[in-house]
Amino acid sequence: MAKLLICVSHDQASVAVWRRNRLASCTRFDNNEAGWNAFGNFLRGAKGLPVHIMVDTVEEDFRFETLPHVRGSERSEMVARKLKQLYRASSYHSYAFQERGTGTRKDDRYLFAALTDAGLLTPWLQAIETAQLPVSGIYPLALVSASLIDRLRIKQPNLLIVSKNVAGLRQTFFKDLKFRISRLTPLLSAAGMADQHYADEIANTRMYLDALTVTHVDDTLELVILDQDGSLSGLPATIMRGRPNIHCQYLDINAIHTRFGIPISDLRVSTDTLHLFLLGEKAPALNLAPAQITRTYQRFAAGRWVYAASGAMLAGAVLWSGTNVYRAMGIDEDTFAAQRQAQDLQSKYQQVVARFPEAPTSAENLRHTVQFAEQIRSRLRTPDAMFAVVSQALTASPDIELQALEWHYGDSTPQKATAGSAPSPGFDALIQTGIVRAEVARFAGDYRAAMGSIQNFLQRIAQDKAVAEVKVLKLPLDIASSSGLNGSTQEIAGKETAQFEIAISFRSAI
Amino acid sequence: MNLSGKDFQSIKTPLMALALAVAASLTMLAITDRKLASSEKNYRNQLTALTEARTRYQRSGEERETILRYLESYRALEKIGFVGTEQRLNWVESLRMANKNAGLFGVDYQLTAQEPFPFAVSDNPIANQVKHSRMTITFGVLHEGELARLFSALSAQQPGLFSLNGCSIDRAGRQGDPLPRQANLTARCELSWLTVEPGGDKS
Repeated sequence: MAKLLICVSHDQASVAVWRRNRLASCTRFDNNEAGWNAFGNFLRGAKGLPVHIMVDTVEEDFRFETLPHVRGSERSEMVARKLKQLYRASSYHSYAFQERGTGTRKDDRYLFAALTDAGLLTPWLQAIETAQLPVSGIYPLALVSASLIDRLRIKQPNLLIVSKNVAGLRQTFFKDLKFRISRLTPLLSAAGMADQHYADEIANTRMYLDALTVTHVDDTLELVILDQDGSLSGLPATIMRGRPNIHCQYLDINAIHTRFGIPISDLRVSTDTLHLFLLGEKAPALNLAPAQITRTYQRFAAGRWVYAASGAMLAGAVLWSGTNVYRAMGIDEDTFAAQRQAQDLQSKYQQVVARFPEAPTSAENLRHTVQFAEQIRSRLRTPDAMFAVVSQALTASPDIELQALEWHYGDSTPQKATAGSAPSPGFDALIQTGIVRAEVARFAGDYRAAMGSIQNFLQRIAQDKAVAEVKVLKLPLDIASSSGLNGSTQEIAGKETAQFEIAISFRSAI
Repeated sequence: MNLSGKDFQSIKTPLMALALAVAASLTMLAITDRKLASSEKNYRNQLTALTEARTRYQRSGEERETILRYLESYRALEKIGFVGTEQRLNWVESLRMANKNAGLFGVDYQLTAQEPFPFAVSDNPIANQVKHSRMTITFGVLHEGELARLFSALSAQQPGLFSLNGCSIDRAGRQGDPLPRQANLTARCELSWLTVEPGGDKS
């Protein structure tokens, strides 16, 4: 991600653009009106880039504090109180958790840092605000140096990194690869005496560390000297003189170019170039910028997140859609192959069919039509069976005279009105039923005798194997308890009749 | 953190881009999902068609056998008028001839309009295409045996395919022994004249 890197010191600001993991457009601006204006003009070409600011000044403070181990909002509140207590006058402060204590309380150890006078930043921040660029963070140069430990693969427990920057000679000490102290010493213009002066400063730092018992006088100190402008070439020898427990690594401009891949031309622009490079690679966790400074960046970052989410969503949708299209294409190919196969089979079938006898309809229709006609014919019934049964019963019952016969071929319910009734569904459900209306001949009002004759007639019909059931529908005299009864015992010659009605159901196979 | 109007203003464009991305994504997914579903459906249909074509081809021998076996009977059914449109003129003419041949005293008839044949024969799909016209005939007979003579005579004419739904015979108020050469009984029967049009779906 492209960003703008700025190293602000008392005299000037070194600026570079970080793009594709490389520095570009390394520039220096003096800390005066002209420099601020030039910086403002420079920023016009950096529209939309987030700004990372590194400060190299003596107006800084680092403190280690041990606080009770708490978590979450309690920790935030406790640390905020501590920051307010330590740096009441400055809003450019922050903290970083260092390590958990090893004692019984297991307290937490924090590094607190602040810019005690942020006035140095004011003109530069104004120019950035005017250009409407989002400030991501403000970091102490000393903490940016911590990246060198990984880059130079240093494992020694006592490490002192000495670099000559625009602001001065920066000494940063790391104990067990963790930041401990940092000092900034003004540069000495007298070249002849500089090496000895810087060597003395380094010796002072060593004595200070010994006095703090951070190091022991017999401990070996790993000293890394970063010399971008070549003015410290005599320093290693000066330091080593009479100091056997110091191991010195000297990196000149060529060594820095080789180790970090920074173009020599960029390294020559400013002695802060290496630290700009380190800041571009990785910003420290400890950010001194107050919330009002980073607010724009937060908006900017939120916007970028939304853009990233949009892009990710779109990419996901494109991927998913691509998969869908790819699968659909594969399926379409299979469909096409199946279609060709079906057409091939169809044409073979047509060739076979061409040799078939000429038929008015399909083979299935032929079969079904003929089978249906056979079914109709096989189920065709006439009243003959019923006539035969009734005739036999009448022959054996001379006192019964037939009045009318109804025959029905349909469902199982006997119906009086044969004509006009629609056949019931289902060939198998069809049975023959009939209704016989007759009377007892020579009836002289003797209902008992008439009932006996009717009963005999019924039994003769029921005895026929073709008959499933015989039911009486009407008798000359209704003697059922469920209905009323009236009549006369007075005989009227020629008026008496003993009519009755019976229903016959035939077996289904008949 | 409280969000201000400026915060919302600053992410207005990204949010619009997000909305566009959501809309575009959903549209793309909807279109391609539909396309995929359509392709899958086409494939399933085509597989079914392929299976049918394969089965039809494999059964073409059976089909030929079926045609050879049933064609003659089918032609006969066409000839008598069961297959095709109704031959009402034939029916009436045949009824007249049957009456004459059976030596009856005349037959009155009444035909209803054609309607679907209500017998549901589940194992025969052609049943759904069968139609019938109900004919009620009324005629006088000497005795009940003349019914059978009439229907035998009618069948002999081969006027079509019919089924007998019901018959009734009554003496119509006549008393005493039957008289010779006289319609002693009144008969009334209902027939269904059946026709089918299987359609022109040739092999």
